[in-house]
Amino acid sequence: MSDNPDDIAQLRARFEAIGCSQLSDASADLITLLPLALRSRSGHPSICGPMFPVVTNDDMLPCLQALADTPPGWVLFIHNTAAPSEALVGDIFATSALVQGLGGIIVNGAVRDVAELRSIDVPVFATSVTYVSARTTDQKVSELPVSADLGGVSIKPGEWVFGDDDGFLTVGASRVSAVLAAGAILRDREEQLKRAIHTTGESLAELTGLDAFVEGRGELGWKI
Amino acid sequence: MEQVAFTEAVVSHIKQMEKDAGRDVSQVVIEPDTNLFDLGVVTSFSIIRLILFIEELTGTAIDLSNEELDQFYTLGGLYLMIRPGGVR
Repeated sequence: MSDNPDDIAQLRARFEAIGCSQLSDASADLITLLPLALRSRSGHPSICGPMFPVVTNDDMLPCLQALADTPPGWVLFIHNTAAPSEALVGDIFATSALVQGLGGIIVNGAVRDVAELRSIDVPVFATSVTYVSARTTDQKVSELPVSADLGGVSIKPGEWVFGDDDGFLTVGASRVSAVLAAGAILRDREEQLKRAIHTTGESLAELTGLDAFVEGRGELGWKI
Repeated sequence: MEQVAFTEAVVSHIKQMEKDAGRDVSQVVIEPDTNLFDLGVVTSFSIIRLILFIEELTGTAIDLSNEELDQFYTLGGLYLMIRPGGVR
């Protein structure tokens, strides 16, 4: 998968027309569920891109180093091992991410300045919010990006993350275009089914032959 | 890759996928303009296997926009996607 910011932006635009549910349904064997209760803190409905992971323990220095190193188009992924988390991202941090052309920021931990984040056009998703800022800058990291272990799920540099209101998932970089293509087909077929319901006035049960299926006389079908 | 060879390879793969799923479609004729989804030999849930097969067959990544989705539904459309100058 290309690291060109324009190519990343093109794939991001395609994802915005698809969604995580369709990617998961269409390519269940190629996606990994990201088990984090992430919510948009910037008002953006979705986020996607190759990940630049960093691990910290309530210390700002690894976050600032990672922000400086994250390539344009990529998503900075901050994994805070401290709980409860202090705020690792705020409006100044997000403003820099915007100017640097990042694809977004994901924090397994806390952010703050939420009102201001909503006016900054860079997606920020986080598991929590607090006005208590991380204060220390002690833990210099010598290697970036790094893999992050999230309780059995490993986040690797360059893996793609996709997230929206339905949840988050990751895909290996070499499979991104195929997974997006399959998701787009599934979305298209679903739209066709919805149009059929509207135009025919038939219910989902009628269109799929539910009664015959329940009675063992046929397959359950609209062939999505 | 020539269209005949591409088509034969894809049809063979589709029929093998169906056989693996317990359905015998060995006698089904698939024309270049046959809608694979309407025929029932490909679904949105099995399309990823076909995409990966085509990527391996041709050595190129399938990368399409919404305007090109219809090409996925037929063998002829699929060939348009992978031929030189088609969708990458």
